[in-house]
Order: sequence, then C-alpha cells, then structure tokens
Amino acid sequence: MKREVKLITGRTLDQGIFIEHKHSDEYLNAAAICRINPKLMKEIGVDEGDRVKVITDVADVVVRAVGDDNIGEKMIFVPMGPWANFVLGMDVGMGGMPSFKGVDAKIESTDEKTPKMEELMKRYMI
Amino acid sequence: MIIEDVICPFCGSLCDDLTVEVKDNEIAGIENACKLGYSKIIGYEHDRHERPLKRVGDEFKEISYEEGIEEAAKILYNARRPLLYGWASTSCEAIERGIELAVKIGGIIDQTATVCHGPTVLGTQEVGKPSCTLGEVKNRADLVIYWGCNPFHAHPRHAERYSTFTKGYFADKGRKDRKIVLVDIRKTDTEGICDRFIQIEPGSDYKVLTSLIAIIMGEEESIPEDIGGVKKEELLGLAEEMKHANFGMIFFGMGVTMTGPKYKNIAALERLVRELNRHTKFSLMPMRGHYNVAGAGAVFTWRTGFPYAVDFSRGYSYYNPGETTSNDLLTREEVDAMLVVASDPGAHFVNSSVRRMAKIPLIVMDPHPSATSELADLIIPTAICGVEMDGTAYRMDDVPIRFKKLIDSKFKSDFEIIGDIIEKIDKMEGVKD
Repeated sequence: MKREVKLITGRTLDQGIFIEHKHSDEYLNAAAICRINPKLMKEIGVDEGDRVKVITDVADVVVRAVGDDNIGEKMIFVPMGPWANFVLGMDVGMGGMPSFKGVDAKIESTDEKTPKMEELMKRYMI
Repeated sequence: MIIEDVICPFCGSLCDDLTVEVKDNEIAGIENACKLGYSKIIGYEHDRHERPLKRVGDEFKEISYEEGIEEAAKILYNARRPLLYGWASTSCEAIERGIELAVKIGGIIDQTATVCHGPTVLGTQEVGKPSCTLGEVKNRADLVIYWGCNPFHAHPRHAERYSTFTKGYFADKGRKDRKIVLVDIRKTDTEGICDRFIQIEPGSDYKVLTSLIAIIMGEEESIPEDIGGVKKEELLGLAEEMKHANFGMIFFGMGVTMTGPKYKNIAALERLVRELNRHTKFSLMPMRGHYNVAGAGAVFTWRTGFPYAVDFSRGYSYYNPGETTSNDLLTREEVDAMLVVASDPGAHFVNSSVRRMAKIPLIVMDPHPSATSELADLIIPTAICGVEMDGTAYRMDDVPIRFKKLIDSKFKSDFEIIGDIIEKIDKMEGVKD
C-alpha cells in the first residue's frame, strides 16, 4: 500500500560521524534509513527494520524503516546522502537551490534490498 | 606531545579548545571534541587512497602525483566548460589558488553554499544581514531562537560554547540567564535544551515570519487565527518576548533555506530582525555546515566580487545563481569536465546533476574515498586540513582562525596540488597568463 508523504532530508549525528567513511556498514546504517511515524508504518504494513521504497517523480530507492514518534504522520525523514539524494530533482528558477526538504514522495513496503553506496552510484553510470 | 588549543576541522563552529596527544607522528588521543570532530580527527588514517588513481576501463590504476597532476591539467585545459566545485573543507589559501585556476582556464568556480546557505547569500543581497560574533552571543544573548536548525546533531558543541549553556559577561548564570526557543516542523533532539518549541507546518516559514513582522509593526489585526499551524496567540507571545529581550539572537539552518520560497524566507528573516532593532538589540546568524564554508564565501568575495557560482568564461567574473550554480549547470548538461575539491557532490547533489558527473571527465581531490570518487576518472589523494596541514578557516560568524598541523603527512595538500596544476597549465601551449 502506497502513502503520499512529504520527504524531508537533513543532517544527523550518526550520518556526520561516518561521513568520511562512506563505504562502511556504519554509514549505510546511518544514512540508508527512513524515519517514519509508527502509525504510518502500521498503515503501510512495515515493522522496525523492514525495507521501504521511497518513490518520487525522479527515481526510487530502498532504505530501512526506523520508527520515530517525532516525525509527523504525513512526512518521512531520510538523512542527507547518496540514498536520499538519488530521488531528488532540480527545481528550475529557484536561484540554484534544489528542494531538499518538503518534496512530494510516496512510500511503500518492499522486499527489495537496500543498495550499498557503490551499487547505488553505479546506477548513475548506466 | 600534547598540542593544546587545537582547532576542530569539522563544522562551522570551529571549536578552538581541543587538546590532542601525538605519539610517534600518530594521533593518540583527543579531548574536548564532539563525536563529529573526534571521529574525523581520530579516523584520519582510515580508508585512504595511498596514491593517485586513474580510471582505466572499469578498474583504477595507481599513478604518481606527477602523472596525476599532468592528467588533471590536461583534462581542465581541454575542457570548454569546466566546473571547479567544493572548497568548504579546505584552507582559504587553497581556495585562493582554486580561483586563480578558474580564471586561467575560463571556468566556473562554485562552493558548497550552492546547496546550503546560497539562499542566505541571496536574501542578504536583498535585505542585508544584521549579524554579530559568537562572542557577543555568549556574553549578551538572553533570548536565543533556533529556527529550522538542529545543532544537537549538526553543531553538537554550539549550545555549550556559544549560545545556550555558556556563561558570559551579561549572562553570568549561563543557561539560567537565557530563554531558548526552537521553531521547526518536527520535534528534534534540540528541543530537549529549549524552554519552548513552536511547531510549524512544512514550508510555512515565510507565512510565520511575515506574520511576526506584521505583529512587531503593530499590525496584529491583519493576522489570521492560525498561521502555518501556529496559533496567533502563540506568535503574539513570541513577538512580545522578542521585543523585550535585551539581546535577541536567531540561529537558522537548512529548514529555512531549502523550503518554500527559499531565499525569500531569508529576506523575511532579515526584515524581521531589522524591525526588531527598532525595539531592542537583535541579531541573526546562519548555522554553517562545513568548517570553512564561511571562508570560501569570504575568499570568493574578495577575489571575484561574488560569494559563489562565479563564471569566468567571459574573461571577467559573472554571477547569476540559477544559471551559474552547479546543479543548474550540470542538469543542463553544460559542464564538460569537473574538478571536485574537499567535497562530495556525488552524495549531496540531485540525481540529474550526479548523472551528468558520471558522464564527463571527473577529477576528485579528497583525503578519503567518497560517493563522488566512485564516479571519478582521476582521484588525487590529499592531506587533511587541520590534521596534516595548517591554514586559515572562517568560523560561522566570519571570524578567521588559523588551524594547526598536528602531524606530518606523505600526502600533498590541496594548496600544493592546485599550485602544481596551475604551473602545468602555464606551460601548455596557447595559454596566456
């Protein structure tokens, strides 16, 4: 079941700690995640740690679901980084700044795997 | 050997009170650093490319610095629309050389503010930035508002050193002398250190800011009962607190620059502070991310006249954000070669830009492998500024601070490599100085 949400991206402490270690499992665990309100998790049928697909007009990416009561039911938070930015596009006419927050997206449960950073970057080379 | 007063090369807070123990030219211990700074300094040895690498088919081949510099010079010299990007995590001295290189090859030079506080620059060019130093905040601020920023995660020692807990001349009781407010779309961990949290709807900063301006100007009748998810009563209360502060301060982040009308949010924020100064002393400051992104803006401005997105293809400096900004240039597929210095646009640019980066000759100068280096044609490893190289950086309040070299390194610095590339290009046929 897909749900429409606003995608927010941004810095987190863990993403920052491992930012110079982008090939590590720690960075994958810190950045390839999606923070979701537990009520929304229930609606789309995912439990903590399950895979979710974040879909925008640009692309889709699979990340790990993390429950967070402080996230609104109509938004999701993905830390800035290769996974979040893979689904973001360019806004023309906005003074050079793409929209990294408040982006229209959909979210659904999936059985697909989260790509490693290297695998994700290879998709740009196709 | 114990080195005191070490400058942390991570975020724009540029904490200058770290103590580092060095044994046999290795970092043995660090005191006073936050998790971000500690991780960067202690992890300096982790995951380094030993030598420059050149892509040959699907593989990378090790080459010498001399060969790497020659190759980089060739790529940049032969490009018609080269983009030199990054610069926020290196020294001002290296940035100055980067600008010299951009002038020489008629390229575009842009820095990470383009995806960060670029809208702050634009808002400031429209209204003006009433700002101050972090020392003034520490000594005077009795009302601190964090708006659309999350220092708990992005600037972990900011509250302790400058804005919340620290004791100052007119705030000698520290936290007890200050009222702290958070305005954001979600309850972040920063809320834990605040007296009050005002939750607004995503993308409604402009509405809330302009309503506050109207209230401060005495036009509260014109405000509806609900503004971006905030009750009018709550905004009236905040406006009163602002007007009656002795020294008010707003720190703001990406929650304001990246949403809704972007730079117009910043212009509204600056107008609000301007209006507040008719009542009391009020100031504002962007929370800068990379430790020297403020320095990049400063050096760009005094060398070229503009703070980012500067195009030298006409033979003089030309600046038009939306046209000469990196993501626009890449998405339009104009850029035909790119040099990335001390940054990772592969991880932090949008899909269409990274797709272009994967297609063109891409040179990466960085101490560590990154998402960008996965796409690179040429990787030149560099020394880490603030650990293996000294230099100048600007704190988020535009105060320049000299950072130290802690240990010797076998890696060349950005400063040296850019200088070598310029020297090579100078020797190439047909290039006039």
